[in-house]
Amino acid sequence: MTAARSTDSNSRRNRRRTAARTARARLAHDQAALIPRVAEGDLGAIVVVEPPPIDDSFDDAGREDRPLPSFAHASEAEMGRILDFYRIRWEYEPHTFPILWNLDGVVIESFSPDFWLPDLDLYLEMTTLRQKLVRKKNRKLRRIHELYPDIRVKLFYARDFRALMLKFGRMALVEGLIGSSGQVIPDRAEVDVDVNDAGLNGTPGTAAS
Amino acid sequence: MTVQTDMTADIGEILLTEEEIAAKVAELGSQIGADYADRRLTLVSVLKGSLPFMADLMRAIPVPVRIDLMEVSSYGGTTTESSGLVRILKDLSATIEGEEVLIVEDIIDTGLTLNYLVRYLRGKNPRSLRICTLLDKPARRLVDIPVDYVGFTIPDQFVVGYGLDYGEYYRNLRFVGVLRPEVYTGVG
Repeated sequence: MTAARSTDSNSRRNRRRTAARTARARLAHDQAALIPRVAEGDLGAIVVVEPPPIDDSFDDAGREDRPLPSFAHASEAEMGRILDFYRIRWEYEPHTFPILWNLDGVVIESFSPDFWLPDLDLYLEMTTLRQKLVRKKNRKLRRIHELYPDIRVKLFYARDFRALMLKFGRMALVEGLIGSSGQVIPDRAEVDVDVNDAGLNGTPGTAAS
Repeated sequence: MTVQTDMTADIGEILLTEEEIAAKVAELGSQIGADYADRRLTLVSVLKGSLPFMADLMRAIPVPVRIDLMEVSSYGGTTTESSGLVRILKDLSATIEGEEVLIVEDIIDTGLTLNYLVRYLRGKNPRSLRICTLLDKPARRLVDIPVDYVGFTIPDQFVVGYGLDYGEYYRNLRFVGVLRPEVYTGVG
Protein backbone atom coordinates (compact mmCIF):
# COMPACT_ATOMS: atom_id res chain seq x y z
CA MET A 1 0.00 0.00 0.00
CA THR A 2 1.39 3.44 -0.90
CA ALA A 3 1.58 6.28 1.60
CA ALA A 4 -1.08 8.25 -0.34
CA ARG A 5 -3.50 5.30 -0.32
CA SER A 6 -2.87 4.79 3.35
CA THR A 7 -3.65 8.46 4.03
CA ASP A 8 -6.87 8.22 2.00
CA SER A 9 -7.88 5.12 3.89
CA ASN A 10 -7.18 6.77 7.23
CA SER A 11 -9.12 9.83 6.16
CA ARG A 12 -12.15 7.75 5.15
CA ARG A 13 -11.97 5.81 8.41
CA ASN A 14 -11.82 9.05 10.34
CA ARG A 15 -14.82 10.43 8.45
CA ARG A 16 -16.81 7.30 9.26
CA ARG A 17 -15.85 7.52 12.91
CA THR A 18 -16.74 11.21 13.01
CA ALA A 19 -20.12 10.51 11.39
CA ALA A 20 -20.84 7.74 13.88
CA ARG A 21 -19.78 9.94 16.79
CA THR A 22 -21.95 12.79 15.54
CA ALA A 23 -24.98 10.52 15.16
CA ARG A 24 -24.46 9.09 18.63
CA ALA A 25 -24.00 12.51 20.18
CA ARG A 26 -27.14 13.82 18.50
CA LEU A 27 -29.16 10.87 19.71
CA ALA A 28 -27.73 11.07 23.21
CA HIS A 29 -28.68 14.73 23.34
CA ASP A 30 -32.21 14.02 22.10
CA GLN A 31 -32.72 11.16 24.50
CA ALA A 32 -30.99 12.45 27.61
CA ALA A 33 -34.15 13.89 29.10
CA LEU A 34 -36.22 10.86 28.21
CA ILE A 35 -34.32 7.98 29.78
CA PRO A 36 -36.32 6.57 32.72
CA ARG A 37 -34.89 7.53 36.08
CA VAL A 38 -33.45 4.79 38.24
CA ALA A 39 -33.26 5.29 41.97
CA GLU A 40 -32.39 3.31 45.06
CA GLY A 41 -35.46 1.79 46.59
CA ASP A 42 -36.41 2.15 50.21
CA LEU A 43 -35.88 -1.51 50.84
CA GLY A 44 -32.38 -2.88 50.78
CA ALA A 45 -30.32 -2.52 47.67
CA ILE A 46 -33.02 -3.42 45.18
CA VAL A 47 -33.21 -0.84 42.44
CA VAL A 48 -36.63 0.63 41.85
CA VAL A 49 -37.37 2.01 38.43
CA GLU A 50 -39.60 5.02 38.25
CA PRO A 51 -41.31 4.81 34.89
CA PRO A 52 -42.78 8.00 33.52
CA PRO A 53 -46.23 8.79 34.86
CA ILE A 54 -49.21 8.05 32.70
CA ASP A 55 -49.66 10.86 30.27
CA ASP A 56 -53.17 12.18 30.76
CA SER A 57 -53.12 13.81 27.35
CA PHE A 58 -52.76 10.38 25.80
CA ASP A 59 -56.48 9.84 25.67
CA ASP A 60 -58.81 8.53 23.04
CA ALA A 61 -59.31 11.87 21.38
CA GLY A 62 -55.62 12.63 21.20
CA ARG A 63 -54.89 9.26 19.72
CA GLU A 64 -57.54 9.53 17.06
CA ASP A 65 -56.41 13.02 16.16
CA ARG A 66 -52.84 11.98 15.64
CA PRO A 67 -52.15 11.14 11.99
CA LEU A 68 -50.81 7.62 11.61
CA PRO A 69 -47.67 7.16 9.54
CA SER A 70 -47.61 5.20 6.32
CA PHE A 71 -46.56 1.84 7.64
CA ALA A 72 -44.61 -0.42 5.33
CA HIS A 73 -46.19 -3.56 6.71
CA ALA A 74 -49.39 -4.61 8.45
CA SER A 75 -47.46 -6.06 11.39
CA GLU A 76 -46.00 -2.61 12.02
CA ALA A 77 -49.47 -1.07 12.01
CA GLU A 78 -50.60 -3.70 14.50
CA MET A 79 -47.61 -3.01 16.72
CA GLY A 80 -48.44 0.69 16.62
CA ARG A 81 -51.96 -0.11 17.82
CA ILE A 82 -50.62 -2.33 20.61
CA LEU A 83 -48.24 0.38 21.81
CA ASP A 84 -51.04 2.92 21.66
CA PHE A 85 -53.26 0.60 23.67
CA TYR A 86 -50.68 0.34 26.44
CA ARG A 87 -50.03 4.10 26.31
CA ILE A 88 -46.45 3.74 25.27
CA ARG A 89 -45.26 6.68 23.23
CA TRP A 90 -43.68 5.77 19.91
CA GLU A 91 -42.38 7.31 16.74
CA TYR A 92 -42.16 5.59 13.40
CA GLU A 93 -38.70 5.49 11.84
CA PRO A 94 -37.61 8.81 13.37
CA HIS A 95 -33.88 8.12 13.22
CA THR A 96 -31.59 6.80 10.51
CA PHE A 97 -28.22 5.32 11.34
CA PRO A 98 -25.52 5.19 8.65
CA ILE A 99 -23.93 1.75 8.66
CA LEU A 100 -21.86 1.60 5.46
CA TRP A 101 -19.84 4.18 3.58
CA ASN A 102 -18.13 4.05 0.19
CA LEU A 103 -14.48 4.86 -0.30
CA ASP A 104 -15.33 8.55 -0.53
CA GLY A 105 -17.02 8.49 2.84
CA VAL A 106 -20.51 8.77 1.36
CA VAL A 107 -23.20 6.80 3.17
CA ILE A 108 -24.33 3.94 0.97
CA GLU A 109 -26.32 1.94 3.50
CA SER A 110 -28.28 2.96 6.54
CA PHE A 111 -30.71 1.49 9.00
CA SER A 112 -33.95 3.06 10.24
CA PRO A 113 -35.50 0.95 13.02
CA ASP A 114 -39.28 0.84 12.69
CA PHE A 115 -40.20 2.20 16.10
CA TRP A 116 -38.55 4.37 18.66
CA LEU A 117 -40.02 4.25 22.16
CA PRO A 118 -38.60 7.41 23.75
CA ASP A 119 -39.77 6.68 27.30
CA LEU A 120 -38.06 3.31 27.20
CA ASP A 121 -35.03 4.40 25.20
CA LEU A 122 -35.62 1.45 22.91
CA TYR A 123 -35.90 0.81 19.20
CA LEU A 124 -38.12 -1.94 17.79
CA GLU A 125 -37.48 -3.52 14.43
CA MET A 126 -40.16 -5.76 12.99
CA THR A 127 -38.78 -8.61 10.92
CA THR A 128 -41.88 -10.52 10.00
CA LEU A 129 -41.08 -10.86 6.32
CA ARG A 130 -39.40 -13.72 4.46
CA GLN A 131 -36.14 -15.27 5.64
CA LYS A 132 -33.92 -13.55 3.08
CA LEU A 133 -34.95 -10.15 4.40
CA VAL A 134 -34.57 -11.34 7.97
CA ARG A 135 -30.94 -12.27 7.25
CA LYS A 136 -30.38 -8.83 5.75
CA LYS A 137 -31.86 -7.17 8.83
CA ASN A 138 -29.78 -9.34 11.13
CA ARG A 139 -26.66 -8.21 9.29
CA LYS A 140 -27.72 -4.57 9.60
CA LEU A 141 -28.37 -5.05 13.29
CA ARG A 142 -24.89 -6.48 13.82
CA ARG A 143 -23.46 -3.36 12.16
CA ILE A 144 -25.61 -1.16 14.39
CA HIS A 145 -24.26 -2.92 17.48
CA GLU A 146 -20.70 -2.45 16.22
CA LEU A 147 -21.07 1.21 15.32
CA TYR A 148 -23.56 2.37 17.93
CA PRO A 149 -23.08 0.13 20.97
CA ASP A 150 -25.22 2.37 23.16
CA ILE A 151 -28.32 2.01 21.01
CA ARG A 152 -30.82 -0.62 22.17
CA VAL A 153 -32.66 -2.30 19.31
CA LYS A 154 -35.03 -5.21 19.82
CA LEU A 155 -35.68 -7.39 16.82
CA PHE A 156 -39.20 -8.66 16.59
CA TYR A 157 -39.33 -11.81 14.46
CA ALA A 158 -42.37 -13.49 12.95
CA ARG A 159 -42.33 -16.00 15.82
CA ASP A 160 -42.39 -13.15 18.33
CA PHE A 161 -45.32 -11.60 16.52
CA ARG A 162 -47.18 -14.92 16.50
CA ALA A 163 -46.61 -15.26 20.24
CA LEU A 164 -47.91 -11.75 20.80
CA MET A 165 -51.03 -12.44 18.76
CA LEU A 166 -51.55 -15.70 20.62
CA LYS A 167 -51.30 -13.86 23.91
CA PHE A 168 -53.89 -11.37 22.74
CA GLY A 169 -56.18 -14.05 21.32
CA ARG A 170 -55.61 -12.86 17.76
CA MET A 171 -54.07 -15.95 16.22
CA ALA A 172 -56.71 -15.92 13.51
CA LEU A 173 -55.21 -12.70 12.18
CA VAL A 174 -51.57 -13.71 12.21
CA GLU A 175 -51.23 -15.02 8.67
CA GLY A 176 -52.72 -11.82 7.31
CA LEU A 177 -50.33 -9.68 9.28
CA ILE A 178 -46.98 -11.33 8.62
CA GLY A 179 -45.07 -12.35 5.52
CA SER A 180 -45.92 -11.13 2.05
CA SER A 181 -49.64 -10.88 2.72
CA GLY A 182 -48.85 -8.43 5.50
CA GLN A 183 -47.59 -5.92 2.98
CA VAL A 184 -51.18 -5.03 2.20
CA ILE A 185 -52.22 -3.07 5.24
CA PRO A 186 -55.81 -3.79 6.26
CA ASP A 187 -58.12 -1.11 7.55
CA ARG A 188 -58.56 -0.87 11.29
CA ALA A 189 -62.08 -2.19 10.89
CA GLU A 190 -60.78 -5.35 9.24
CA VAL A 191 -58.34 -5.96 12.05
CA ASP A 192 -61.01 -5.47 14.66
CA VAL A 193 -62.94 -8.52 13.53
CA ASP A 194 -64.68 -10.34 16.30
CA VAL A 195 -62.16 -12.89 17.43
CA ASN A 196 -64.96 -14.95 18.85
CA ASP A 197 -66.21 -15.52 15.32
CA ALA A 198 -62.80 -16.84 14.47
CA GLY A 199 -63.13 -19.40 17.21
CA LEU A 200 -60.29 -17.92 19.22
CA ASN A 201 -61.57 -16.20 22.26
CA GLY A 202 -58.10 -15.49 23.58
CA THR A 203 -57.87 -13.97 26.98
CA PRO A 204 -60.35 -11.12 26.83
CA GLY A 205 -60.47 -8.69 29.65
CA THR A 206 -57.46 -9.89 31.57
CA ALA A 207 -53.85 -9.48 31.00
CA ALA A 208 -50.58 -11.23 31.44
CA SER A 209 -47.89 -8.67 31.77
CA MET B 1 -62.35 -23.19 20.77
CA THR B 2 -62.87 -26.69 22.09
CA VAL B 3 -61.52 -27.75 25.45
CA GLN B 4 -61.38 -31.47 26.09
CA THR B 5 -63.18 -32.76 29.14
CA ASP B 6 -59.85 -34.11 30.29
CA MET B 7 -57.93 -30.83 30.15
CA THR B 8 -54.63 -32.60 30.65
CA ALA B 9 -55.04 -34.07 27.17
CA ASP B 10 -54.41 -30.59 25.79
CA ILE B 11 -51.14 -30.28 27.69
CA GLY B 12 -48.01 -31.25 25.81
CA GLU B 13 -45.67 -31.10 28.77
CA ILE B 14 -45.90 -30.36 32.47
CA LEU B 15 -43.44 -27.57 33.08
CA LEU B 16 -43.95 -27.13 36.82
CA THR B 17 -45.58 -29.68 39.06
CA GLU B 18 -47.92 -28.84 41.89
CA GLU B 19 -45.19 -29.77 44.37
CA GLU B 20 -42.58 -27.59 42.68
CA ILE B 21 -44.94 -24.63 42.69
CA ALA B 22 -45.82 -25.13 46.36
CA ALA B 23 -42.16 -25.28 47.35
CA LYS B 24 -41.37 -22.13 45.42
CA VAL B 25 -44.34 -20.25 46.86
CA ALA B 26 -43.22 -21.20 50.38
CA GLU B 27 -39.71 -19.98 49.58
CA LEU B 28 -40.99 -16.69 48.19
CA GLY B 29 -43.28 -16.22 51.16
CA SER B 30 -40.42 -16.65 53.61
CA GLN B 31 -38.22 -14.26 51.69
CA ILE B 32 -40.94 -11.61 51.48
CA GLY B 33 -41.74 -12.08 55.15
CA ALA B 34 -38.11 -11.46 56.07
CA ASP B 35 -37.83 -8.42 53.81
CA TYR B 36 -40.99 -6.84 55.16
CA ALA B 37 -40.63 -7.71 58.83
CA ASP B 38 -42.04 -4.88 60.96
CA ARG B 39 -43.52 -3.18 57.91
CA ARG B 40 -47.09 -2.77 56.74
CA LEU B 41 -47.33 -4.68 53.49
CA THR B 42 -50.12 -4.53 50.93
CA LEU B 43 -50.28 -7.24 48.29
CA VAL B 44 -51.92 -6.14 45.05
CA SER B 45 -52.97 -9.01 42.84
CA VAL B 46 -53.79 -8.60 39.17
CA LEU B 47 -56.87 -10.52 38.14
CA LYS B 48 -57.53 -13.08 36.97
CA GLY B 49 -54.41 -15.08 36.35
CA SER B 50 -52.66 -14.41 39.63
CA LEU B 51 -55.54 -15.52 41.85
CA PRO B 52 -54.17 -18.98 42.76
CA PHE B 53 -50.67 -17.59 43.26
CA MET B 54 -51.97 -14.76 45.42
CA ALA B 55 -54.09 -17.13 47.52
CA ASP B 56 -51.12 -19.40 48.19
CA LEU B 57 -48.50 -16.66 48.55
CA MET B 58 -50.41 -14.58 51.11
CA ARG B 59 -50.70 -17.64 53.32
CA ALA B 60 -46.98 -18.30 52.98
CA ILE B 61 -46.00 -14.82 54.17
CA PRO B 62 -45.53 -14.92 57.94
CA VAL B 63 -46.16 -11.21 58.59
CA PRO B 64 -49.43 -9.27 58.58
CA VAL B 65 -50.52 -8.27 55.08
CA ARG B 66 -53.42 -6.42 53.51
CA ILE B 67 -54.61 -7.58 50.13
CA ASP B 68 -56.24 -5.79 47.25
CA LEU B 69 -57.25 -6.77 43.73
CA MET B 70 -57.03 -5.03 40.40
CA GLU B 71 -58.08 -5.93 36.89
CA VAL B 72 -56.62 -4.41 33.77
CA SER B 73 -58.01 -4.75 30.26
CA SER B 74 -55.95 -6.54 27.67
CA TYR B 75 -55.35 -5.69 24.03
CA GLY B 76 -57.74 -7.65 21.89
CA GLY B 77 -60.08 -8.31 24.75
CA THR B 78 -63.76 -7.87 24.03
CA THR B 79 -64.04 -5.28 26.78
CA THR B 80 -61.56 -2.99 25.10
CA GLU B 81 -62.96 -2.65 21.62
CA SER B 82 -64.80 0.55 22.35
CA SER B 83 -61.89 2.38 23.92
CA GLY B 84 -58.73 1.23 22.20
CA LEU B 85 -56.76 2.06 25.33
CA VAL B 86 -55.80 -0.01 28.32
CA ARG B 87 -58.22 0.52 31.19
CA ILE B 88 -58.44 -0.28 34.86
CA LEU B 89 -61.45 -2.59 34.99
CA LYS B 90 -61.25 -2.97 38.75
CA ASP B 91 -59.38 -0.45 40.84
CA LEU B 92 -57.95 -0.74 44.34
CA SER B 93 -60.45 -0.81 47.15
CA ALA B 94 -58.29 1.16 49.56
CA THR B 95 -55.63 3.83 49.35
CA ILE B 96 -52.01 2.77 49.09
CA GLU B 97 -50.53 6.17 49.80
CA GLY B 98 -47.56 5.76 52.09
CA GLU B 99 -47.89 1.98 52.04
CA GLU B 100 -45.37 -0.70 51.14
CA VAL B 101 -46.91 -2.32 48.09
CA LEU B 102 -46.02 -5.57 46.40
CA ILE B 103 -47.60 -6.34 43.04
CA VAL B 104 -48.33 -10.04 42.71
CA GLU B 105 -48.30 -11.31 39.15
CA ASP B 106 -48.75 -14.74 37.66
CA ILE B 107 -46.49 -14.20 34.67
CA ILE B 108 -44.47 -11.41 33.12
CA ASP B 109 -43.81 -11.73 29.42
CA THR B 110 -43.93 -8.54 27.34
CA GLY B 111 -44.11 -6.31 30.40
CA LEU B 112 -46.68 -4.11 28.66
CA THR B 113 -49.42 -4.50 31.26
CA LEU B 114 -46.99 -4.34 34.15
CA ASN B 115 -45.44 -1.16 32.79
CA TYR B 116 -48.87 0.44 32.70
CA LEU B 117 -49.74 -0.85 36.16
CA VAL B 118 -46.51 0.37 37.74
CA ARG B 119 -47.00 3.80 36.21
CA TYR B 120 -50.58 3.86 37.46
CA LEU B 121 -49.75 2.73 41.00
CA ARG B 122 -46.78 5.07 41.30
CA GLY B 123 -49.26 7.89 40.82
CA LYS B 124 -50.93 6.79 44.05
CA ASN B 125 -47.77 7.56 46.02
CA PRO B 126 -47.00 4.31 47.80
CA ARG B 127 -43.98 4.35 50.09
CA SER B 128 -42.46 1.56 48.03
CA LEU B 129 -43.57 -0.46 45.05
CA ARG B 130 -42.07 -3.82 44.26
CA ILE B 131 -42.97 -6.70 42.03
CA CYS B 132 -43.33 -10.42 42.62
CA THR B 133 -44.10 -12.85 39.84
CA LEU B 134 -44.43 -16.58 39.84
CA LEU B 135 -43.27 -16.91 36.25
CA ASP B 136 -40.91 -14.80 34.20
CA LYS B 137 -40.62 -15.23 30.45
CA PRO B 138 -37.76 -12.86 29.57
CA ALA B 139 -37.58 -13.97 25.93
CA ARG B 140 -40.82 -12.11 25.30
CA ARG B 141 -39.90 -8.91 27.09
CA LEU B 142 -40.63 -5.65 25.34
CA VAL B 143 -40.56 -3.37 28.35
CA ASP B 144 -37.77 -4.01 30.83
CA ILE B 145 -38.95 -3.64 34.39
CA PRO B 146 -36.87 -4.86 37.32
CA VAL B 147 -38.69 -7.67 39.10
CA ASP B 148 -37.88 -8.10 42.76
CA TYR B 149 -39.15 -11.63 43.36
CA VAL B 150 -39.23 -14.26 40.62
CA GLY B 151 -40.47 -17.79 41.17
CA PHE B 152 -39.43 -19.45 37.95
CA THR B 153 -37.83 -18.24 34.75
CA ILE B 154 -39.50 -20.22 32.00
CA PRO B 155 -38.73 -20.85 28.33
CA ASP B 156 -40.56 -19.20 25.49
CA GLN B 157 -43.58 -21.49 25.40
CA PHE B 158 -47.29 -20.87 25.79
CA VAL B 159 -48.17 -22.09 29.25
CA VAL B 160 -51.46 -22.57 31.06
CA GLY B 161 -52.57 -23.73 34.47
CA TYR B 162 -52.31 -22.44 38.06
CA GLY B 163 -54.28 -19.36 37.01
CA LEU B 164 -52.94 -19.00 33.48
CA ASP B 165 -55.51 -19.43 30.77
CA TYR B 166 -56.12 -19.90 27.14
CA GLY B 167 -59.54 -18.66 26.11
CA GLU B 168 -60.38 -18.41 29.84
CA TYR B 169 -59.90 -22.17 30.34
CA TYR B 170 -57.19 -24.22 32.02
CA ARG B 171 -56.85 -21.80 34.94
CA ASN B 172 -57.88 -24.52 37.39
CA LEU B 173 -55.08 -26.91 36.52
CA ARG B 174 -52.92 -27.50 39.58
CA PHE B 175 -49.71 -27.44 37.56
CA VAL B 176 -48.21 -25.20 34.87
CA GLY B 177 -48.06 -26.93 31.51
CA VAL B 178 -47.28 -26.19 27.90
CA LEU B 179 -50.40 -26.06 25.77
CA ARG B 180 -50.30 -28.25 22.68
CA PRO B 181 -49.95 -25.98 19.63
CA GLU B 182 -52.80 -27.77 17.86
CA VAL B 183 -55.15 -26.36 20.50
CA TYR B 184 -54.59 -22.80 19.32
CA THR B 185 -53.66 -23.41 15.70
CA GLY B 186 -56.56 -25.76 15.06
CA VAL B 187 -54.19 -28.04 13.16
CA GLY B 188 -53.56 -31.63 14.13
